[in-house]
Amino acid sequence: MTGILEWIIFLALSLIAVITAAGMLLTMSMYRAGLALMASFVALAGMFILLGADLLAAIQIMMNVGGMLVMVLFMVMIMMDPGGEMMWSMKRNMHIRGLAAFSMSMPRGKPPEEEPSQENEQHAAQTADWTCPMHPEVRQPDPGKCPKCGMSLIPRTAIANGEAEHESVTQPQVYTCPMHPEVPQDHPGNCPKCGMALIPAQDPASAGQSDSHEGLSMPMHQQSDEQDSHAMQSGHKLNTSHMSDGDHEMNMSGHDMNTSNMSSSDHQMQMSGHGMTMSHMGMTPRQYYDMMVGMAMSTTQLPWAIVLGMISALLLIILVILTPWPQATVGPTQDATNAVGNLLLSRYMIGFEGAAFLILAGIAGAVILAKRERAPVQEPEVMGAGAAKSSAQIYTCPMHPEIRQQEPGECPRCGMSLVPAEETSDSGGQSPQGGHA
Amino acid sequence: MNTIVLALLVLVCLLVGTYGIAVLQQLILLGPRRAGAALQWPIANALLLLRQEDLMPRGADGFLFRSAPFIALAVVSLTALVIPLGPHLIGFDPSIGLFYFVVLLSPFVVSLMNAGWSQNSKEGLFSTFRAAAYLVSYEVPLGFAAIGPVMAAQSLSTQRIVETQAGLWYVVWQPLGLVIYLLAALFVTFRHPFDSALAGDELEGGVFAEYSGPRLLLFKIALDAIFLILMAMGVVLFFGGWQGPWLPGPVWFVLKTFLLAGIVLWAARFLPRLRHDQILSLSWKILLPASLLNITLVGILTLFIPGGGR
Repeated sequence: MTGILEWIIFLALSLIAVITAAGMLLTMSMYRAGLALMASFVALAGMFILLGADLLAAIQIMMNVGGMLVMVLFMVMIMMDPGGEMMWSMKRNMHIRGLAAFSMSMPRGKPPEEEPSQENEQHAAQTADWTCPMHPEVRQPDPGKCPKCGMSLIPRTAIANGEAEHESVTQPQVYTCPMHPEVPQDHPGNCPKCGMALIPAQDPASAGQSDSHEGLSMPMHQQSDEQDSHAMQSGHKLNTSHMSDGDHEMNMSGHDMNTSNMSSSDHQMQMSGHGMTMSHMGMTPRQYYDMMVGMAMSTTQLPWAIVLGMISALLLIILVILTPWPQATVGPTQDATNAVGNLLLSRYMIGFEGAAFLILAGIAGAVILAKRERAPVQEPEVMGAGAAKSSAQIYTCPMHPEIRQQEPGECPRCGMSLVPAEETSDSGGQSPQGGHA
Repeated sequence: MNTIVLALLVLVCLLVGTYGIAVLQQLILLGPRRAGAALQWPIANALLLLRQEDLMPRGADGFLFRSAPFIALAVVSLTALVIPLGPHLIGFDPSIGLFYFVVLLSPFVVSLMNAGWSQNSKEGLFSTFRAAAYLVSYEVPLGFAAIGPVMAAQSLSTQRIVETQAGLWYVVWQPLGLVIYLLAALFVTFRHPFDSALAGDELEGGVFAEYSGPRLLLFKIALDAIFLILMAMGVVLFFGGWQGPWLPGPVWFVLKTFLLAGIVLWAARFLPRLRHDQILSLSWKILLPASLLNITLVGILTLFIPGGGR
């Protein structure tokens, strides 16, 4: 009877240990992951008690529960998304079903083609002529002053594929974090919040254009096309309300970037707002795909890695079975330490070596079968020569961020001397409009 | 089958003892100090909570929120296994009983943390942080205070510790250890002077802010039960467990436990309620050095007291 009970307890404990270990890998909430690991260790401690190793069990519980507790505490205090809610919501919005919904899995299928944004940018740079920020009807081939108001002219780009009425100014290339869209930078690098590589926030013109041939399902607000004209009239306010009606946090941040990129005329504001909404925080399908690859917790090679691990585990078990067991009936004698040492050397060493082999195989698999699909890191020059050129020389007023000029000078509104645009765009992330709702 | 019956018996004893603690609290802390009312009140309260709706806040982590009270009660029941009611009247007698007991106090805090974290409220989260910070700071003095009897008895087994106190209770020559142990015990159970983790005044009950109904009842039972367990362990460590003249062992044990619990509950009323930084500095700056001093004293005294260092 006791034997059966022991068997039942053993099975229950091992089941708990395995399930919670798997749960640690599959959950997105860091709190739950830490707790699952804790539960797994406690189940192991229960097995130790079954084996009569009470002290080992108590030490196991003390060390691991205390350790996990502190770890969980620090995760809750420091990490950005300890409950995994943001990841879950992204997952939900992407409508990923089945087992893949448990982890950020690789996007299926081939990566979408690279956007022809380079040509766009170059073309735009070639055909750029100059216009007044207040009077868009003024056009000149050369920079200078507006004949109507005397303001400095700013470059104007025509959009390549016949959308003549959609006119945009070459925006400075903005890089942003895939997870923290409120972090705008004008140069690539790592996110100051989470350390992920920044991705370019797409230029509105090419993003809107690329919408038609997207390969991935991206949560978008298609209705923004119809709202073009309204947005043009009522400008920023309408843009904001339009953004906030979406149900993801991402849109808030789209609004954020919108303000930081704010241009002087309503027309330009509408354009940038349009772009942000249209492409889900300003990303082309390719960039979106790259973001998903970057965030993926597993790769498409995961099955192979699992097979490799299974084979090595099988080898390990075979090794342990094939080696002869030493006599286990040895009581506590003078020679007991020697016997234990021999036991370790003869048999358990195989176990340890095998475990080390398993770990090495895992590392090798991770390195060799690394995320191959990741697109090469794009240099800012590649992303658009014209954009890079213009971003280097944008000057803006510290009080009126909508003022943007190519050369330093005085603000046409308040007469303050202009400052380079990076500073204001950096502070734009902390502006009151920028906060998440 | 024997094991299951034994486990159930321990659980029943724990629940009955918890009822006793609730009555005692009613008499000493809450009032009215009439025995009839005090005997009825815990039952009435339990029935009230059982009838309440079981609510879960929006955005809560459902699994953790629902499971936390069960984990709390399960952990407390596990600690109850190593309390010896009498000679060979013990649920589970491992050779390391006391260590097992001290170790299992941290999973109890894990359950409180789960409850605080999962309920998606700021009060719960603050309470979680405090509970975890306290766990680290009370476990050390509690462990060191318990080392005194262990050194004298030269065993970690709770039964052995009681048996060695046949001649002289350890409280006689380890009073400092007892004081440290009782302060740490109040700490563990988040009782009055150290109750800022579950603060009713500032954090709306902290971990319990969002709990209602049967789950709140489970939590309250677990809190009272762990207080009972700590007092019982105090009796085991310092007051000679079941040892006593005339009466049978278990009766002595129960009498001593409830007497100690009553005295502690009564005396704690006169202590001022501490801020949580004061609590932490009390733990690290006073209790920890005092417990080390206690170990030194016990080590020296063990050599001189007859029967102390067997």
